Amino acid sequence: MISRLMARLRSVVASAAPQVIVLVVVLFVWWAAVRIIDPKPFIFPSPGRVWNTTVTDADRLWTGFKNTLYASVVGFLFATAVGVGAALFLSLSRVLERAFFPWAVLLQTVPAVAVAPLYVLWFGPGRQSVMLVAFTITLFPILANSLAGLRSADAALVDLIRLRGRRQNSWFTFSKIRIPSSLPYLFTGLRISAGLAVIGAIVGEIVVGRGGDEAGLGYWVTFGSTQLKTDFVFAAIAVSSALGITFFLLVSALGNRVLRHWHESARIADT
Amino acid sequence: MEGQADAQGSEVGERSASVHAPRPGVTVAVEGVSRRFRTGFLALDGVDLAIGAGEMVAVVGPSGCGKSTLLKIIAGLLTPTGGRVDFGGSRPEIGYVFQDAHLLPWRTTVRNVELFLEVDGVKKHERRDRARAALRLVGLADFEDSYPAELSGGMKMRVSLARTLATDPQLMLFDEPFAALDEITRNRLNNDLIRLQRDQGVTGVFVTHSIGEAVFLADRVEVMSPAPGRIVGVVDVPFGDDRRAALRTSAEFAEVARDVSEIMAAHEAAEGAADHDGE
Repeated sequence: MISRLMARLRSVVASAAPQVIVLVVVLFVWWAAVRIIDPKPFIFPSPGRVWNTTVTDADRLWTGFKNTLYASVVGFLFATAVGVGAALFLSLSRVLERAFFPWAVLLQTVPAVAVAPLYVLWFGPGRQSVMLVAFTITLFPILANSLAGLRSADAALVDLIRLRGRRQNSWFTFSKIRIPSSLPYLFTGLRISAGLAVIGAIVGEIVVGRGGDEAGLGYWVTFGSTQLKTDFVFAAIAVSSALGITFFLLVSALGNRVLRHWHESARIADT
Repeated sequence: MEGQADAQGSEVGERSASVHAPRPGVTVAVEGVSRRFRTGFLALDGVDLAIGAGEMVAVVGPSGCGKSTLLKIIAGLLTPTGGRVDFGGSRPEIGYVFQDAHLLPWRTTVRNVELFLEVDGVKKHERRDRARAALRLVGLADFEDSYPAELSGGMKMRVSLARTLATDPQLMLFDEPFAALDEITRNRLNNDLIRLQRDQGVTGVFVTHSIGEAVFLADRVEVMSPAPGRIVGVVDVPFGDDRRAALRTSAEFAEVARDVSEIMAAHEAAEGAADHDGE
Protein backbone atom coordinates (compact mmCIF):
# COMPACT_ATOMS: atom_id res chain seq x y z
CA MET A 1 0.00 0.00 0.00
CA ILE A 2 2.67 2.46 1.13
CA SER A 3 5.01 1.42 -1.65
CA ARG A 4 2.27 1.89 -4.23
CA LEU A 5 1.57 5.32 -2.85
CA MET A 6 5.25 6.16 -3.04
CA ALA A 7 5.46 4.89 -6.59
CA ARG A 8 2.50 7.01 -7.54
CA LEU A 9 3.98 10.04 -5.82
CA ARG A 10 7.25 9.46 -7.66
CA SER A 11 5.50 9.29 -11.02
CA VAL A 12 3.59 12.53 -10.29
CA VAL A 13 6.83 14.26 -9.31
CA ALA A 14 8.60 12.89 -12.36
CA SER A 15 5.90 14.09 -14.73
CA ALA A 16 5.68 17.54 -13.12
CA ALA A 17 9.44 18.03 -12.85
CA PRO A 18 10.09 19.59 -16.30
CA GLN A 19 7.41 22.23 -15.79
CA VAL A 20 8.62 23.07 -12.32
CA ILE A 21 12.20 23.40 -13.56
CA VAL A 22 11.08 25.87 -16.25
CA LEU A 23 9.22 27.89 -13.62
CA VAL A 24 12.24 28.01 -11.36
CA VAL A 25 14.52 29.04 -14.21
CA VAL A 26 12.15 31.81 -15.34
CA LEU A 27 11.83 33.15 -11.80
CA PHE A 28 15.58 33.07 -11.43
CA VAL A 29 16.23 34.91 -14.71
CA TRP A 30 13.61 37.50 -13.77
CA TRP A 31 15.16 37.95 -10.34
CA ALA A 32 18.70 38.14 -11.75
CA ALA A 33 17.73 40.55 -14.54
CA VAL A 34 16.04 42.93 -12.10
CA ARG A 35 19.08 42.63 -9.87
CA ILE A 36 21.52 43.53 -12.65
CA ILE A 37 19.54 46.10 -14.67
CA ASP A 38 17.94 47.57 -11.58
CA PRO A 39 14.88 49.24 -13.18
CA LYS A 40 12.55 51.46 -11.18
CA PRO A 41 10.11 49.17 -9.30
CA PHE A 42 7.09 50.81 -10.95
CA ILE A 43 8.57 49.94 -14.35
CA PHE A 44 9.52 46.37 -13.55
CA PRO A 45 9.30 44.97 -10.02
CA SER A 46 11.31 41.99 -8.75
CA PRO A 47 9.64 38.67 -8.03
CA GLY A 48 10.15 39.22 -4.33
CA ARG A 49 8.34 42.56 -4.48
CA VAL A 50 5.41 41.01 -6.33
CA TRP A 51 5.22 38.26 -3.74
CA ASN A 52 5.22 40.79 -0.88
CA THR A 53 2.37 42.73 -2.46
CA THR A 54 0.45 39.50 -2.98
CA VAL A 55 0.71 38.82 0.72
CA THR A 56 -0.05 42.34 1.95
CA ASP A 57 -2.88 42.92 -0.51
CA ALA A 58 -4.26 39.40 -0.18
CA ASP A 59 -7.70 40.76 0.83
CA ARG A 60 -8.15 42.75 -2.36
CA LEU A 61 -6.86 39.94 -4.52
CA TRP A 62 -9.15 37.46 -2.79
CA THR A 63 -12.22 39.67 -3.40
CA GLY A 64 -11.08 40.09 -6.98
CA PHE A 65 -10.57 36.35 -7.33
CA LYS A 66 -14.07 35.60 -6.05
CA ASN A 67 -15.79 38.20 -8.21
CA THR A 68 -13.94 37.26 -11.37
CA LEU A 69 -14.51 33.58 -10.70
CA TYR A 70 -18.21 34.19 -10.19
CA ALA A 71 -18.61 36.28 -13.35
CA SER A 72 -16.63 33.90 -15.52
CA VAL A 73 -18.40 30.78 -14.25
CA VAL A 74 -21.85 32.31 -14.76
CA GLY A 75 -20.90 33.58 -18.23
CA PHE A 76 -19.41 30.19 -19.07
CA LEU A 77 -22.45 28.20 -17.91
CA PHE A 78 -24.81 30.51 -19.71
CA ALA A 79 -22.73 30.18 -22.90
CA THR A 80 -22.72 26.40 -22.50
CA ALA A 81 -26.50 26.30 -22.27
CA VAL A 82 -27.04 28.67 -25.18
CA GLY A 83 -24.22 27.20 -27.31
CA VAL A 84 -25.29 23.59 -26.89
CA GLY A 85 -28.95 24.51 -27.42
CA ALA A 86 -28.15 26.43 -30.58
CA ALA A 87 -25.93 23.60 -31.85
CA LEU A 88 -28.74 21.09 -31.31
CA PHE A 89 -31.08 23.34 -33.23
CA LEU A 90 -28.65 23.94 -36.11
CA SER A 91 -27.82 20.25 -36.36
CA LEU A 92 -31.43 19.50 -37.26
CA SER A 93 -30.84 20.41 -40.87
CA ARG A 94 -28.17 21.52 -43.27
CA VAL A 95 -30.38 24.42 -44.32
CA LEU A 96 -30.62 25.75 -40.78
CA GLU A 97 -26.88 25.43 -40.41
CA ARG A 98 -26.23 27.23 -43.66
CA ALA A 99 -28.66 29.99 -42.70
CA PHE A 100 -27.34 30.71 -39.22
CA PHE A 101 -23.83 29.40 -38.74
CA PRO A 102 -22.07 32.04 -40.92
CA TRP A 103 -23.63 34.73 -38.73
CA ALA A 104 -22.33 33.00 -35.65
CA VAL A 105 -18.86 33.08 -37.23
CA LEU A 106 -19.30 36.78 -37.92
CA LEU A 107 -20.30 37.31 -34.30
CA GLN A 108 -17.06 35.65 -33.31
CA THR A 109 -15.01 38.23 -35.19
CA VAL A 110 -16.50 41.10 -33.19
CA PRO A 111 -13.90 41.95 -30.52
CA ALA A 112 -15.17 41.58 -26.99
CA VAL A 113 -13.45 44.80 -25.89
CA ALA A 114 -15.51 46.67 -28.47
CA VAL A 115 -18.88 45.34 -27.38
CA ALA A 116 -18.19 45.68 -23.67
CA PRO A 117 -18.96 49.45 -23.63
CA LEU A 118 -22.24 48.72 -25.42
CA TYR A 119 -23.21 46.22 -22.73
CA VAL A 120 -22.43 48.86 -20.10
CA LEU A 121 -24.61 51.29 -22.00
CA TRP A 122 -27.49 48.84 -22.30
CA PHE A 123 -27.32 46.88 -19.07
CA GLY A 124 -25.51 49.26 -16.73
CA PRO A 125 -22.02 49.18 -15.23
CA GLY A 126 -22.50 46.10 -13.08
CA ARG A 127 -21.87 42.38 -12.83
CA GLN A 128 -24.42 41.57 -15.51
CA SER A 129 -22.31 43.38 -18.12
CA VAL A 130 -19.13 41.58 -16.98
CA MET A 131 -20.91 38.23 -17.26
CA LEU A 132 -22.20 39.14 -20.69
CA VAL A 133 -18.69 39.83 -21.96
CA ALA A 134 -17.57 36.45 -20.60
CA PHE A 135 -20.62 34.89 -22.25
CA THR A 136 -19.94 36.56 -25.60
CA ILE A 137 -16.34 35.45 -25.76
CA THR A 138 -17.05 31.84 -24.71
CA LEU A 139 -20.15 31.21 -26.80
CA PHE A 140 -18.57 30.53 -30.18
CA PRO A 141 -16.05 27.80 -29.31
CA ILE A 142 -18.80 25.92 -27.50
CA LEU A 143 -21.31 26.34 -30.31
CA ALA A 144 -18.87 25.47 -33.10
CA ASN A 145 -17.46 22.43 -31.34
CA SER A 146 -20.81 21.00 -30.26
CA LEU A 147 -22.12 21.42 -33.77
CA ALA A 148 -19.08 19.66 -35.26
CA GLY A 149 -19.56 16.95 -32.64
CA LEU A 150 -23.23 16.43 -33.43
CA ARG A 151 -22.25 16.15 -37.08
CA SER A 152 -19.52 13.63 -36.29
CA ALA A 153 -21.87 10.80 -35.37
CA ASP A 154 -21.11 7.51 -37.12
CA ALA A 155 -23.08 7.86 -40.37
CA ALA A 156 -23.12 4.13 -41.06
CA LEU A 157 -24.60 3.46 -37.64
CA VAL A 158 -27.23 6.15 -38.20
CA ASP A 159 -28.01 4.40 -41.50
CA LEU A 160 -28.40 1.07 -39.72
CA ILE A 161 -30.83 2.67 -37.30
CA ARG A 162 -32.64 4.26 -40.20
CA LEU A 163 -33.03 0.75 -41.62
CA ARG A 164 -34.98 -0.09 -38.51
CA GLY A 165 -37.48 2.63 -39.23
CA ARG A 166 -36.13 5.58 -37.23
CA ARG A 167 -35.70 8.87 -38.98
CA GLN A 168 -32.30 10.51 -39.09
CA ASN A 169 -33.41 13.17 -36.60
CA SER A 170 -35.40 10.89 -34.36
CA TRP A 171 -35.10 11.38 -30.63
CA PHE A 172 -33.51 7.94 -30.40
CA THR A 173 -30.72 8.86 -32.79
CA PHE A 174 -30.17 12.14 -30.97
CA SER A 175 -30.12 10.82 -27.46
CA LYS A 176 -28.30 7.54 -28.06
CA ILE A 177 -25.93 8.37 -30.91
CA ARG A 178 -25.55 12.03 -31.82
CA ILE A 179 -25.37 13.63 -28.41
CA PRO A 180 -22.96 11.11 -26.86
CA SER A 181 -20.83 11.23 -30.03
CA SER A 182 -20.57 14.98 -29.68
CA LEU A 183 -19.23 14.94 -26.13
CA PRO A 184 -15.48 14.76 -26.97
CA TYR A 185 -15.96 17.78 -29.24
CA LEU A 186 -18.08 19.59 -26.70
CA PHE A 187 -15.38 19.17 -24.08
CA THR A 188 -12.78 20.53 -26.47
CA GLY A 189 -14.97 23.61 -26.80
CA LEU A 190 -15.49 23.83 -23.05
CA ARG A 191 -11.76 23.59 -22.39
CA ILE A 192 -11.04 26.45 -24.78
CA SER A 193 -13.89 28.48 -23.33
CA ALA A 194 -12.86 27.89 -19.71
CA GLY A 195 -9.71 29.94 -20.24
CA LEU A 196 -11.54 32.48 -22.41
CA ALA A 197 -14.27 32.99 -19.78
CA VAL A 198 -11.73 34.39 -17.33
CA ILE A 199 -10.25 36.65 -20.00
CA GLY A 200 -13.77 37.84 -20.91
CA ALA A 201 -14.64 38.58 -17.31
CA ILE A 202 -11.43 40.57 -16.85
CA VAL A 203 -12.01 42.57 -20.03
CA GLY A 204 -15.54 43.22 -18.79
CA GLU A 205 -14.30 44.36 -15.38
CA ILE A 206 -11.76 46.70 -16.96
CA VAL A 207 -14.47 48.35 -19.06
CA VAL A 208 -17.12 48.39 -16.34
CA GLY A 209 -14.58 49.74 -13.86
CA ARG A 210 -16.61 49.19 -10.74
CA GLY A 211 -14.68 48.68 -7.48
CA GLY A 212 -15.80 48.04 -3.92
CA ASP A 213 -17.59 44.75 -3.30
CA GLU A 214 -17.79 44.12 -7.00
CA ALA A 215 -14.09 44.71 -7.70
CA GLY A 216 -12.75 41.90 -9.84
CA LEU A 217 -9.20 41.16 -10.88
CA GLY A 218 -9.69 43.30 -14.01
CA TYR A 219 -10.60 46.24 -11.84
CA TRP A 220 -7.49 45.73 -9.69
CA VAL A 221 -5.30 45.62 -12.77
CA THR A 222 -6.62 49.04 -13.88
CA PHE A 223 -6.47 50.34 -10.34
CA GLY A 224 -2.87 49.21 -9.93
CA SER A 225 -1.69 50.73 -13.17
CA THR A 226 -3.30 54.12 -12.58
CA GLN A 227 -1.60 54.19 -9.16
CA LEU A 228 1.69 53.01 -10.70
CA LYS A 229 1.54 50.05 -8.31
CA THR A 230 3.10 47.80 -10.91
CA ASP A 231 3.88 45.05 -8.41
CA PHE A 232 0.18 44.86 -7.60
CA VAL A 233 -0.69 44.72 -11.32
CA PHE A 234 1.70 41.78 -11.63
CA ALA A 235 0.09 40.09 -8.64
CA ALA A 236 -3.41 40.57 -10.07
CA ILE A 237 -2.32 39.21 -13.43
CA ALA A 238 -0.73 36.19 -11.77
CA VAL A 239 -3.90 35.51 -9.82
CA SER A 240 -6.02 35.77 -12.99
CA SER A 241 -3.75 33.32 -14.80
CA ALA A 242 -3.98 30.96 -11.86
CA LEU A 243 -7.76 31.30 -12.01
CA GLY A 244 -7.84 30.62 -15.75
CA ILE A 245 -5.57 27.59 -15.41
CA THR A 246 -7.57 26.17 -12.51
CA PHE A 247 -10.78 26.59 -14.44
CA PHE A 248 -9.23 24.95 -17.49
CA LEU A 249 -7.90 22.03 -15.46
CA LEU A 250 -11.24 21.47 -13.73
CA VAL A 251 -13.06 21.33 -17.04
CA SER A 252 -10.36 19.03 -18.46
CA ALA A 253 -10.65 16.72 -15.46
CA LEU A 254 -14.42 16.60 -15.84
CA GLY A 255 -13.97 15.85 -19.54
CA ASN A 256 -11.52 13.03 -18.89
CA ARG A 257 -13.87 11.58 -16.33
CA VAL A 258 -16.89 11.67 -18.65
CA LEU A 259 -14.95 10.48 -21.69
CA ARG A 260 -12.87 7.80 -20.06
CA HIS A 261 -14.23 5.09 -22.35
CA TRP A 262 -14.11 7.13 -25.55
CA HIS A 263 -10.38 7.22 -26.00
CA GLU A 264 -7.93 4.51 -25.44
CA SER A 265 -5.49 7.07 -24.06
CA ALA A 266 -7.78 8.03 -21.20
CA ARG A 267 -8.48 4.43 -20.33
CA ILE A 268 -7.73 2.95 -16.95
CA ALA A 269 -5.81 -0.30 -17.29
CA ASP A 270 -8.25 -2.42 -15.32
CA THR A 271 -8.81 -5.39 -17.58
CA MET B 1 -4.49 -7.22 -25.26
CA GLU B 2 -2.55 -10.15 -26.62
CA GLY B 3 -4.06 -12.54 -24.11
CA GLN B 4 -7.53 -11.39 -25.06
CA ALA B 5 -6.88 -11.79 -28.74
CA ASP B 6 -5.94 -15.41 -28.09
CA ALA B 7 -8.99 -15.96 -25.96
CA GLN B 8 -11.23 -15.28 -28.93
CA GLY B 9 -10.07 -18.62 -30.46
CA SER B 10 -12.04 -20.23 -33.22
CA GLU B 11 -14.05 -22.35 -30.82
CA VAL B 12 -17.33 -20.56 -30.60
CA GLY B 13 -19.84 -21.11 -27.76
CA GLU B 14 -22.44 -23.81 -27.62
CA ARG B 15 -23.24 -24.89 -31.08
CA SER B 16 -26.91 -25.30 -30.45
CA ALA B 17 -27.29 -21.94 -28.72
CA SER B 18 -29.43 -19.63 -30.76
CA VAL B 19 -30.97 -16.26 -30.24
CA HIS B 20 -34.35 -17.64 -31.11
CA ALA B 21 -35.51 -20.65 -32.95
CA PRO B 22 -33.95 -19.58 -36.27
CA ARG B 23 -36.36 -18.11 -38.71
CA PRO B 24 -35.88 -19.52 -42.18
CA GLY B 25 -34.02 -17.22 -44.51
CA VAL B 26 -35.82 -15.42 -47.28
CA THR B 27 -35.43 -15.56 -50.99
CA VAL B 28 -34.09 -12.46 -52.68
CA ALA B 29 -34.76 -11.59 -56.29
CA VAL B 30 -32.76 -8.69 -57.70
CA GLU B 31 -34.30 -7.94 -61.06
CA GLY B 32 -32.54 -5.71 -63.56
CA VAL B 33 -31.33 -3.30 -60.91
CA SER B 34 -29.56 -0.18 -62.18
CA ARG B 35 -28.32 2.83 -60.38
CA ARG B 36 -27.22 6.06 -61.98
CA PHE B 37 -25.79 8.71 -59.70
CA ARG B 38 -26.61 12.36 -60.03
CA THR B 39 -23.21 12.90 -61.61
CA GLY B 40 -24.44 10.74 -64.49
CA PHE B 41 -22.15 7.89 -63.51
CA LEU B 42 -23.77 4.50 -64.05
CA ALA B 43 -22.77 2.44 -61.02
CA LEU B 44 -24.97 -0.58 -61.69
CA ASP B 45 -26.38 -1.73 -64.98
CA GLY B 46 -29.16 -4.30 -65.01
CA VAL B 47 -27.99 -6.57 -62.23
CA ASP B 48 -29.94 -9.82 -61.78
CA LEU B 49 -29.49 -12.06 -58.77
CA ALA B 50 -31.72 -14.89 -57.60
CA ILE B 51 -30.83 -16.03 -54.10
CA GLY B 52 -32.58 -18.99 -52.52
CA ALA B 53 -33.58 -19.23 -48.86
CA GLY B 54 -30.62 -20.09 -46.66
CA GLU B 55 -28.22 -19.64 -49.53
CA MET B 56 -24.94 -17.76 -49.22
CA VAL B 57 -23.97 -15.80 -52.30
CA ALA B 58 -20.70 -13.94 -52.69
CA VAL B 59 -20.33 -10.99 -55.01
CA VAL B 60 -16.70 -10.49 -56.04
CA GLY B 61 -15.23 -7.67 -58.01
CA PRO B 62 -12.54 -5.02 -57.91
CA SER B 63 -13.17 -2.01 -55.71
CA GLY B 64 -15.36 0.54 -57.40
CA CYS B 65 -17.44 -2.03 -59.26
CA GLY B 66 -20.65 -1.12 -57.44
CA LYS B 67 -20.76 -3.99 -54.96
CA SER B 68 -21.55 -1.75 -52.02
CA THR B 69 -24.14 0.13 -54.02
CA LEU B 70 -25.83 -3.17 -54.79
CA LEU B 71 -25.94 -4.11 -51.10
CA LYS B 72 -27.33 -0.71 -50.15
CA ILE B 73 -30.06 -1.13 -52.71
CA ILE B 74 -30.94 -4.60 -51.41
CA ALA B 75 -31.01 -3.18 -47.88
CA GLY B 76 -33.23 -0.30 -48.92
CA LEU B 77 -30.70 2.41 -48.04
CA LEU B 78 -30.56 3.44 -51.69
CA THR B 79 -33.31 3.29 -54.28
CA PRO B 80 -32.49 1.82 -57.67
CA THR B 81 -32.97 4.05 -60.70
CA GLY B 82 -34.14 0.98 -62.59
CA GLY B 83 -35.34 -2.52 -61.76
CA ARG B 84 -36.51 -3.86 -58.41
CA VAL B 85 -35.68 -6.03 -55.42
CA ASP B 86 -38.29 -8.59 -54.40
CA PHE B 87 -38.34 -10.67 -51.24
CA GLY B 88 -41.35 -12.73 -52.19
CA GLY B 89 -43.46 -11.13 -49.50
CA SER B 90 -43.10 -8.41 -46.89
CA ARG B 91 -39.75 -6.84 -46.16
CA PRO B 92 -37.67 -9.29 -44.15
CA GLU B 93 -35.53 -8.54 -41.10
CA ILE B 94 -32.23 -7.47 -42.66
CA GLY B 95 -28.86 -7.46 -40.92
CA TYR B 96 -26.09 -5.35 -42.38
CA VAL B 97 -22.43 -5.74 -41.45
CA PHE B 98 -19.94 -3.12 -42.60
CA GLN B 99 -16.19 -3.25 -42.96
CA ASP B 100 -15.75 -1.50 -39.65
CA ALA B 101 -17.48 -2.58 -36.49
CA HIS B 102 -19.22 0.78 -35.93
CA LEU B 103 -19.59 0.29 -32.20
CA LEU B 104 -20.42 2.97 -29.68
CA PRO B 105 -17.24 3.56 -27.66
CA TRP B 106 -19.13 4.57 -24.52
CA ARG B 107 -21.11 1.35 -24.35
CA THR B 108 -19.98 -2.00 -23.05
CA THR B 109 -20.05 -4.97 -25.40
CA VAL B 110 -23.43 -6.21 -24.24
CA ARG B 111 -24.93 -2.71 -24.39
CA ASN B 112 -23.63 -2.36 -27.93
CA VAL B 113 -25.26 -5.63 -28.91
CA GLU B 114 -28.53 -4.39 -27.41
CA LEU B 115 -28.59 -1.26 -29.54
CA PHE B 116 -30.83 -2.41 -32.40
CA LEU B 117 -33.16 -4.19 -29.99
CA GLU B 118 -33.47 -0.90 -28.17
CA VAL B 119 -34.39 0.78 -31.43
CA ASP B 120 -37.07 -1.86 -31.90
CA GLY B 121 -38.42 -1.21 -28.42
CA VAL B 122 -37.64 -4.66 -27.00
CA LYS B 123 -38.03 -4.72 -23.21
CA LYS B 124 -34.90 -4.43 -21.12
CA HIS B 125 -34.89 -7.95 -19.76
CA GLU B 126 -35.46 -9.70 -23.05
CA ARG B 127 -32.95 -7.38 -24.67
CA ARG B 128 -30.22 -8.44 -22.27
CA ASP B 129 -31.01 -12.12 -22.71
CA ARG B 130 -30.95 -11.93 -26.46
CA ALA B 131 -27.75 -9.87 -26.47
CA ARG B 132 -26.05 -12.44 -24.23
CA ALA B 133 -27.21 -15.29 -26.44
CA ALA B 134 -25.82 -13.51 -29.49
CA LEU B 135 -22.50 -12.93 -27.70
CA ARG B 136 -22.32 -16.65 -26.92
CA LEU B 137 -22.82 -17.37 -30.60
CA VAL B 138 -19.79 -15.32 -31.56
CA GLY B 139 -17.71 -16.61 -28.66
CA LEU B 140 -17.55 -13.39 -26.65
CA ALA B 141 -19.66 -14.35 -23.63
CA ASP B 142 -16.79 -13.43 -21.31
CA PHE B 143 -16.40 -9.95 -22.67
CA GLU B 144 -19.86 -8.49 -22.17
CA ASP B 145 -18.61 -5.80 -19.80
CA SER B 146 -15.61 -4.75 -21.89
CA TYR B 147 -15.54 -1.48 -23.77
CA PRO B 148 -14.69 -1.42 -27.49
CA ALA B 149 -11.34 0.25 -26.75
CA GLU B 150 -10.39 -2.86 -24.80
CA LEU B 151 -11.13 -5.27 -27.64
CA SER B 152 -8.99 -6.34 -30.60
CA GLY B 153 -10.11 -5.62 -34.16
CA GLY B 154 -11.40 -9.15 -34.66
CA MET B 155 -13.33 -9.05 -31.41
CA LYS B 156 -14.95 -5.76 -32.38
CA MET B 157 -16.14 -7.36 -35.62
CA ARG B 158 -17.56 -10.23 -33.59
CA VAL B 159 -19.48 -7.74 -31.45
CA SER B 160 -20.75 -6.09 -34.61
CA LEU B 161 -21.83 -9.50 -35.89
CA ALA B 162 -23.52 -10.33 -32.58
CA ARG B 163 -25.38 -7.02 -32.70
CA THR B 164 -26.84 -8.05 -36.05
CA LEU B 165 -27.51 -11.65 -34.99
CA ALA B 166 -29.42 -10.42 -31.92
CA THR B 167 -32.07 -8.98 -34.22
CA ASP B 168 -32.68 -12.46 -35.61
CA PRO B 169 -32.22 -11.47 -39.25
CA GLN B 170 -33.59 -13.45 -42.18
CA LEU B 171 -31.16 -11.87 -44.60
CA MET B 172 -27.63 -10.79 -43.81
CA LEU B 173 -25.67 -8.42 -46.00
CA PHE B 174 -21.91 -8.33 -45.55
CA ASP B 175 -20.00 -5.42 -47.02
CA GLU B 176 -16.38 -6.62 -46.93
CA PRO B 177 -16.75 -7.09 -43.20
CA PHE B 178 -13.30 -8.48 -42.46
CA ALA B 179 -11.26 -6.60 -45.06
CA ALA B 180 -9.47 -4.55 -42.42
CA LEU B 181 -8.32 -7.56 -40.41
CA ASP B 182 -5.18 -9.64 -40.65
CA GLU B 183 -5.47 -12.91 -42.54
CA ILE B 184 -5.37 -15.21 -39.52
CA THR B 185 -8.18 -13.38 -37.74
CA ARG B 186 -10.07 -13.10 -40.96
CA ASN B 187 -9.95 -16.85 -41.67
CA ARG B 188 -11.00 -17.58 -38.13
CA LEU B 189 -13.97 -15.25 -38.41
CA ASN B 190 -14.94 -16.75 -41.75
CA ASN B 191 -14.83 -20.25 -40.24
CA ASP B 192 -17.26 -19.10 -37.57
CA LEU B 193 -19.37 -17.05 -39.92
CA ILE B 194 -20.12 -19.86 -42.34
CA ARG B 195 -21.02 -22.16 -39.45
CA LEU B 196 -23.35 -19.58 -37.93
CA GLN B 197 -24.95 -18.94 -41.30
CA ARG B 198 -25.58 -22.68 -41.81
CA ASP B 199 -26.86 -23.18 -38.25
CA GLN B 200 -29.20 -20.23 -38.38
CA GLY B 201 -30.37 -20.86 -41.91
CA VAL B 202 -29.99 -17.18 -42.74
CA THR B 203 -29.79 -16.06 -46.34
CA GLY B 204 -26.54 -14.18 -46.95
CA VAL B 205 -25.00 -11.87 -49.49
CA PHE B 206 -21.28 -11.39 -49.00
CA VAL B 207 -19.44 -8.69 -50.89
CA THR B 208 -15.67 -8.96 -51.10
CA HIS B 209 -12.70 -8.46 -53.35
CA SER B 210 -11.01 -11.58 -52.01
CA ILE B 211 -11.59 -14.60 -54.24
CA GLY B 212 -10.49 -17.03 -51.54
CA GLU B 213 -12.95 -15.58 -49.06
CA ALA B 214 -15.76 -15.69 -51.61
CA VAL B 215 -15.15 -19.33 -52.52
CA PHE B 216 -14.81 -20.40 -48.91
CA LEU B 217 -18.07 -18.80 -47.82
CA ALA B 218 -20.41 -19.00 -50.75
CA ASP B 219 -22.66 -21.50 -52.44
CA ARG B 220 -22.31 -19.36 -55.53
CA VAL B 221 -19.87 -16.67 -56.56
CA GLU B 222 -21.17 -13.87 -58.74
CA VAL B 223 -18.41 -11.95 -60.49
CA MET B 224 -18.92 -8.22 -61.08
CA SER B 225 -17.09 -5.93 -63.47
CA PRO B 226 -16.87 -2.20 -62.92
CA ALA B 227 -18.12 0.91 -64.74
CA PRO B 228 -20.93 0.11 -65.19
CA GLY B 229 -21.23 -2.61 -62.56
CA ARG B 230 -22.74 -5.74 -63.99
CA ILE B 231 -22.61 -9.46 -63.34
CA VAL B 232 -20.20 -10.98 -65.84
CA GLY B 233 -20.05 -14.57 -64.64
CA VAL B 234 -21.28 -17.06 -62.08
CA VAL B 235 -19.35 -19.91 -60.49
CA ASP B 236 -21.12 -22.60 -58.47
CA VAL B 237 -19.24 -23.73 -55.39
CA PRO B 238 -19.81 -27.45 -54.91
CA PHE B 239 -18.78 -27.86 -51.27
CA GLY B 240 -22.25 -27.77 -49.67
CA ASP B 241 -22.02 -27.59 -45.89
CA ASP B 242 -18.49 -28.93 -45.79
CA ARG B 243 -16.56 -25.81 -44.87
CA ARG B 244 -13.73 -27.03 -42.71
CA ALA B 245 -10.70 -24.76 -42.51
CA ALA B 246 -8.69 -27.42 -44.37
CA LEU B 247 -10.86 -26.80 -47.42
CA ARG B 248 -8.81 -23.71 -48.17
CA THR B 249 -5.72 -25.73 -49.03
CA SER B 250 -7.48 -28.44 -51.04
CA ALA B 251 -7.07 -28.91 -54.79
CA GLU B 252 -10.83 -28.60 -55.46
CA PHE B 253 -10.84 -25.26 -53.70
CA ALA B 254 -7.96 -24.01 -55.83
CA GLU B 255 -9.80 -25.13 -58.93
CA VAL B 256 -12.97 -23.19 -58.10
CA ALA B 257 -10.90 -20.15 -57.17
CA ARG B 258 -9.12 -20.37 -60.52
CA ASP B 259 -12.46 -20.41 -62.36
CA VAL B 260 -13.43 -17.22 -60.57
CA SER B 261 -10.17 -15.45 -61.26
CA GLU B 262 -10.30 -16.40 -64.93
CA ILE B 263 -13.65 -14.67 -65.29
CA MET B 264 -12.27 -11.66 -63.47
CA ALA B 265 -9.15 -11.57 -65.64
CA ALA B 266 -11.28 -11.68 -68.79
CA HIS B 267 -12.93 -8.45 -67.71
CA GLU B 268 -9.82 -6.66 -66.54
CA ALA B 269 -10.19 -4.13 -69.35
CA ALA B 270 -12.29 -1.85 -67.22
CA GLU B 271 -9.71 -1.80 -64.46
CA GLY B 272 -9.01 1.48 -62.76
CA ALA B 273 -12.56 2.73 -63.11
CA ALA B 274 -13.60 5.59 -60.88
CA ASP B 275 -14.51 4.62 -57.37
CA HIS B 276 -18.17 5.45 -57.15
CA ASP B 277 -18.82 2.59 -54.85
CA GLY B 278 -19.03 4.65 -51.70
CA GLU B 279 -16.30 2.51 -50.24
